[in-house]
Amino acid sequence: MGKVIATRLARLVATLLAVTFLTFSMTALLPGDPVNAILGVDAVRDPEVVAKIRLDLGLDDPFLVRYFNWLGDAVTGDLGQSYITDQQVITTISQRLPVTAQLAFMAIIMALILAIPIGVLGAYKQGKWQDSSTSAGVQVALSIPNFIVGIFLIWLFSVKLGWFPASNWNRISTDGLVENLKTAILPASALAMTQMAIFSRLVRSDMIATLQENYILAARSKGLSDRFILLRHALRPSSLSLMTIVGINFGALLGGTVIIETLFAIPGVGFRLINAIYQRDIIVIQGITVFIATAYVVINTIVDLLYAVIDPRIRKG
Amino acid sequence: MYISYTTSGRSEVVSRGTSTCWEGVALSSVDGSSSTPLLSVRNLRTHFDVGGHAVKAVDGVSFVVHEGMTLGVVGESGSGKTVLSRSIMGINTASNASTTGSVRYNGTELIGKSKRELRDFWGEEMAMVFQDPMTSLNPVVRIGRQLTEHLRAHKKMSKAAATELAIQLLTWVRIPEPEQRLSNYPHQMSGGMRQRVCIAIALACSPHLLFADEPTTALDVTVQHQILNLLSQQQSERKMGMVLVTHDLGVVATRTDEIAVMYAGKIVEKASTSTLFSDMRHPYTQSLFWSIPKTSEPKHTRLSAIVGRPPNLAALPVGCSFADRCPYVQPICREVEPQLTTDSNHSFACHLPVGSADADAALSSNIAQGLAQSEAAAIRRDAQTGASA
Repeated sequence: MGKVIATRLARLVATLLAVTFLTFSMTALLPGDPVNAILGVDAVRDPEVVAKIRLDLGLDDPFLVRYFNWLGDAVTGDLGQSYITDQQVITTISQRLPVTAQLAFMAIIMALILAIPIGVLGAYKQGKWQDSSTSAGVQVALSIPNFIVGIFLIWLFSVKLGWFPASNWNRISTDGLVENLKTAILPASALAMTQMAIFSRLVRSDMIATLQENYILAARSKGLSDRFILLRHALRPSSLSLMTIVGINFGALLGGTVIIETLFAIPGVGFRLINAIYQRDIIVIQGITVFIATAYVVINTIVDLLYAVIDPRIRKG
Repeated sequence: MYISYTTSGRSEVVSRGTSTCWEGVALSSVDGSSSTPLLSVRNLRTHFDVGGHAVKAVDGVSFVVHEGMTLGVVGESGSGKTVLSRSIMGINTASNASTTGSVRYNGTELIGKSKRELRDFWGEEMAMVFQDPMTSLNPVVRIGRQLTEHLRAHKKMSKAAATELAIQLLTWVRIPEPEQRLSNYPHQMSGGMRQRVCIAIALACSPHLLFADEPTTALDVTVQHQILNLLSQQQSERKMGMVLVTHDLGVVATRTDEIAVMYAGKIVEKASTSTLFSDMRHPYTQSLFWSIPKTSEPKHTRLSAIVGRPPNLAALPVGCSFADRCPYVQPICREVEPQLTTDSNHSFACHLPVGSADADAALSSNIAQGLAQSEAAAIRRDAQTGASA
């Protein structure tokens, strides 16, 4: 176990080095200058001021020097502060990452709650009307972009029914859980739609394969009910690829909920990241990237550990 | 047991000591036939619809199994014996399978019952031990739950009582340290152990009828005997009816009361075990018997295999399905399908049954015409007659 964790940590460090270096290179290659963003494009450009800003920010240093300066600070816990807003990156992240993480988590959970029964039903009734109708529904869910779903949800639940606010975000810390969930439910549902479609397809196809196994026939010959066989014998062996995709998609949602965050005006990490990219705010981009990459590696480590929970053959003594 | 062969190709079993035992069993099975048999299969057919063609995996099979009796079903792979046992239980899951005929369990007709109704019979009244213990146990479920889940479903047993019985069952099938084994997963056990567990699972609800579908094919030779002996012992202790499906005549020789030889979905010969071995009438039975290697043969004797392959079950030939592989084949075999004789003690389906004068003449004329399979059969026979003489 200790060895496993050590390997994971080494992998995390390698991943972070690669990811931060690549993001740094990308931002260096992009045209545009953070000084413009700081001063405003139309501002009168006093060369002395520009030079001072560049010196303060270290923008004139060679690329590698700037990267290693940043890296050195980051290692000591200082992720720096935004060129534009002067806010500490760590503050930005601690304010915004929980919002996005909550959205992603809720979306994944909602998707799983729907996807598992749909997938199991589709596999059990393979080729029958229950299967073809759910498959058609899943196909539709997969084809609609999530911002369309988001707009539809706003129209239905905010405009027509008035159940939930159309935008904004209530924090658990200040507004309480109920108010928080009211603002979270619609964007999370919009995100969950595509995930549900992907997950249920995986469950269905893995389940169909599992149901061909000899041990399922053996379980049937013991006189167990279909429901018991599906849920207590077939589901676990059918959920390995589901776990993998849940891990990967959770990580992807952490950095990829920009559109939904924008649509619902949610102060999440994606929203902030896009702004930072527009403004060439390299320090903020780097900081957020580091956190998303770390979250990715951590989630996938948890997924790997969960494999062993699902399939005892993977456990090693 | 000594086996000798007459020049006509018929084999005779001269058994010492065990013969009275066999006769006793044969008598009891005759006696039992007056009451309702445990299992009565009549004209059972299971056809699979594959692209518009009917694959006749089981095609008109009838037999009876009495309490405490073991029926051996013998045939090559693809002869329909696995489908047969699954059809009797009704666990054919393929959606393109259709089963007709009659299966009566203690007088109750099972064909036509819904899956939900059959579930009360499965596990509780009749159970099955599958061919491959590596795949017939769920790899992600502990042995303990696999042993007790159907007990709890059928017998409404408490968890504690079921666990206690599970330990008992593991002891019966001679698994050491049964308490510890309950928390094991299948991959922590050897193949032989797993098959013991499968047998324990099958025995858990004390079924009256046990199907064993090639229960030792996937196991090491050294383990095969232990498993077969265990099955026989449990069968006789519990007075269960048992259907032992195998491709190996050697397996059924000493462990069954009656043997049905299957070929291409049909029973081609059926008799009590002693009769069958002493008086084989169907050329296929004889070929199966010849294909068992014998230690009495000289070293490096070529293992005699049956020429050719089993026929395509979707396109069976007119006449006898074994004709293409039969050393005695005559034109009539390819024109008229031989019917199973109605003698309940020994029935067979052949125009030229082994041992008849017609069969001898047919074999001689086939050899004269240079029919390869006949010559091979003659060589086999000569070699084996010489070896046992």
